[in-house]
Amino acid sequence: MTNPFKSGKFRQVLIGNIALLLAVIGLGVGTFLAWRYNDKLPRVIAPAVPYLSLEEMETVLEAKQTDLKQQISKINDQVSVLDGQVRNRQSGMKGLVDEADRLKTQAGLTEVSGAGVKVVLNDSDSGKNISNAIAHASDLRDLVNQLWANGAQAISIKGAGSLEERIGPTTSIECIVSTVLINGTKMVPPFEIEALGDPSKLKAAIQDKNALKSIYDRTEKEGLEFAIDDSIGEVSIPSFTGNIITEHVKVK
Amino acid sequence: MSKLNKLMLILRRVGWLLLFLIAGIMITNQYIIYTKIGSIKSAQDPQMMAVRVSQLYFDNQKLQKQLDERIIHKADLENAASNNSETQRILQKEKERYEIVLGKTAVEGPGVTVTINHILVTSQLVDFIDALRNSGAEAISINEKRILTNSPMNQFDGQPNYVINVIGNKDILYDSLTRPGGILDLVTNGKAEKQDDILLPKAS
Repeated sequence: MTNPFKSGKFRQVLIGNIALLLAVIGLGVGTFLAWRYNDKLPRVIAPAVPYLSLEEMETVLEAKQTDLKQQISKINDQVSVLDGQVRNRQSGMKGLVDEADRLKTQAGLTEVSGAGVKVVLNDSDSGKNISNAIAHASDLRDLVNQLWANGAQAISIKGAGSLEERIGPTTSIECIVSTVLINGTKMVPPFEIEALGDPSKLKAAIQDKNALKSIYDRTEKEGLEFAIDDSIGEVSIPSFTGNIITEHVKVK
Repeated sequence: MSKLNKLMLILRRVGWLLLFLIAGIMITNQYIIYTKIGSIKSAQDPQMMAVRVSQLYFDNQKLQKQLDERIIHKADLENAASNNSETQRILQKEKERYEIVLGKTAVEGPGVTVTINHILVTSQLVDFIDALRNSGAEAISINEKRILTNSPMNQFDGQPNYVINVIGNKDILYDSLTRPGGILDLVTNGKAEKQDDILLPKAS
């Protein structure tokens, strides 16, 4: 009678099971160790590491920007109250006060309203992910230039979520990846551009297909949305809140 | 079984154990790494992310400057409450600031002169002036004509050459203009020179 423990088949099953058991133990312990102790990305998979740093930096800087804007807004309110008090007390300087106030309005630092036009610019709703189907910062720049060239007295641009910025002396309209930055405020379409001035003249300027060739070409070919909003009777343009820098420039 | 054979068997089993242990670590490691990479929203485009971060940093600097200026202005106003000459000084300073912005007076200061000896079209000029403002230009003239908030660029379209004077931080302006991919690339073949003192005329 043969000993079953010494038969070749049994030995094979036994050794196979031990190997399987070892495999399960090895994988289990390995998984545990990697999960428990590997909590950061290895440097070898760079540039994923710089992405993370950039992402963190962006979050920090955005929070800082929100905080700075809140502080500026708060101090502007306090300045406005103090300004009123000082001007009222110093009645002997009425001429100078009036002159400064007149210039302040001209420089765009007070809210204005009156007859004007409103035009809406938006990405094409075709769903095409191509550059020509998207509303660009350069479109807004062209439009603003065209409105100034045709007698606009004040212009503002509103983005989604009602963020609104007036075009002022130091305004730049920049494209930052998929957003547009105006006076440091990030905006996304649809953009509503409002301009104070003679409505018929400004409407004709907006309808000038030669002056705004790029916008009209893409409206026809790619479905970019660009239209005058005729429902508006009067426009209201907020005061310019960007920074007027006079650090290096001096009156001659 | 000889002792040697038994030892070899044990060693083989320990070897298998180690092999699977390493395999387990490697497999889990890969899984963790790819899960993390997948969670990075903009992993596809690090350069764009860098552009956004650098613009944010630049804008925050501008905002900080604006806040500092407002704090000083507030302190000035507080001092001026009961002081006639201080009020006059503040009003005068405020008036001058608006006059500069509105081009009511000739102005001077350090900056950069850009010379371009070929024709530019309106859109190039629009982009060029926009980029200068983004780099902190405080006053600009094109061919001796002051550029204000509402100056249309159409008036300079198609001229054979341009001298663009810009007052501001001359180092920042010069670097923004001349670095690869900088503002001068918008107009091609332009030349920028730093200046210690530029005089710009008042608006006509």
